[in-house]
Amino acid sequence: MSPVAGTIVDWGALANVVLASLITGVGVTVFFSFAIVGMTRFAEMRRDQRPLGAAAYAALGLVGFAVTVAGVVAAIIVMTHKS
Amino acid sequence: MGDDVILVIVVVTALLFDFTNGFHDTANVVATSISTRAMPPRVAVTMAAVLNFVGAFISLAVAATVGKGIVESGSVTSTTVFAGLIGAIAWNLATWYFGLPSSSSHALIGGIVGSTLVAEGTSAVKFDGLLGKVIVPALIAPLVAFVVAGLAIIAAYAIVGRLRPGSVTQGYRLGQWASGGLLALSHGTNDAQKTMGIITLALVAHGSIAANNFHVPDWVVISSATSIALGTYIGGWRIIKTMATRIIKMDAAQGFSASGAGAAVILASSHFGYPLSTTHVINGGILGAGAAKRLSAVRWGIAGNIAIAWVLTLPMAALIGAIVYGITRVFGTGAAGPIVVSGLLLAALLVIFVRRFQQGSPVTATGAP
Repeated sequence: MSPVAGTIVDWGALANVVLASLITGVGVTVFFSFAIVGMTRFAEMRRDQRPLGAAAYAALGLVGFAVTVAGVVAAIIVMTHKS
Repeated sequence: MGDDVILVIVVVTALLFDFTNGFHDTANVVATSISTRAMPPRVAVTMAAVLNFVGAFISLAVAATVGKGIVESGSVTSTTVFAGLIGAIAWNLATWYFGLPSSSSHALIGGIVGSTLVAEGTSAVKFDGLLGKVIVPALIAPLVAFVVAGLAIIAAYAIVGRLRPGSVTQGYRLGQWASGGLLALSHGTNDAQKTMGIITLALVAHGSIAANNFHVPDWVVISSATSIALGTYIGGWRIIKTMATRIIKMDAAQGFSASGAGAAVILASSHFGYPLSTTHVINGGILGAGAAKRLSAVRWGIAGNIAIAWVLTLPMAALIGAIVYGITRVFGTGAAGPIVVSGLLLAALLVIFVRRFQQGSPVTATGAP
């Protein structure tokens, strides 16, 4: 990296942006996808009268949904604490 | 008296820029939701308008930083700000006319740089700041969003791939209400503040607010929030059509991944003080969500046109800002120049809108594009 590029571009802030974006962007999508899987499978298992499987998928769905909601709340907190 | 007139003109022009900013950037917030039919178009823009309005009140960390680190603060005058605003408005309208998404922030910075160059010369422009705070982030923003949205959609398909499409689509459509809402809120927080900062700076320059007591008056907050919300509600439907249907044909999972990745990148950049353009981020996210599924799913020609508009934004807004500053100075240093330019702008706006609306809207407010 040239000294000029090092001075002009704030590489530290950029690395933080990339890392945080990857973790939150991919993370929220993954957990929301788990929520969809959990809720869909829960409905199927309950219909098939398989209570154990239904409970497991309900738990997966709830965890996925809870993490997604936590992500949204964290996003709003970030907005309100903008410096 | 002359100073009062210039102040009024700058305030009105800043609010007009704010309106075009909302109008132009509606697409960033609603395109994915409309494309996947997560929301009817009119519902999507109404929600975006309300959340943009609310977002403007969430944080008052004033964006008086428009131009900070890019032009010498002592060289900024009411007239250079006025000319810069006209440059930004003109470029926003030109890109809307051709249905191309482009950054309103870059247009504003370009306009102010152009007018400052003519007014004060090259010594008043900090080219290192321009490169580090505007040009490099413009290259990075779409790439980061592209990668995040691409990885997100690959993960999503891997997780939900064996489910029935109906429930998956319904689920991600529901999720888009949250991701789209976050985008709208963050847009209101970021973009309405630019106008608040500009108006407040004009009030300081005029002497209405003491420089050592810098604060944003309530009427500035309310009028800026209202202006960006109104612009968002009216909606730049031509740009919405480009982003919603012409870049890729999105399914609900792609729409959720693109808007979720967009919100994540924008909020992360805001949190770490590395501001990125909402427009660049969302378009990068849409491209990433499309390309990760299949490279040929992306209409690269349209993406190329958008990239050209991004490259041209800074120099074109700067050129217009420079020309407008030159025209105002022909009439001296008083209010005559800004009055003449404002009159010309209003006449041009009337012609553009009449012509465009005579051609009809490409997206109906109640149906899909």
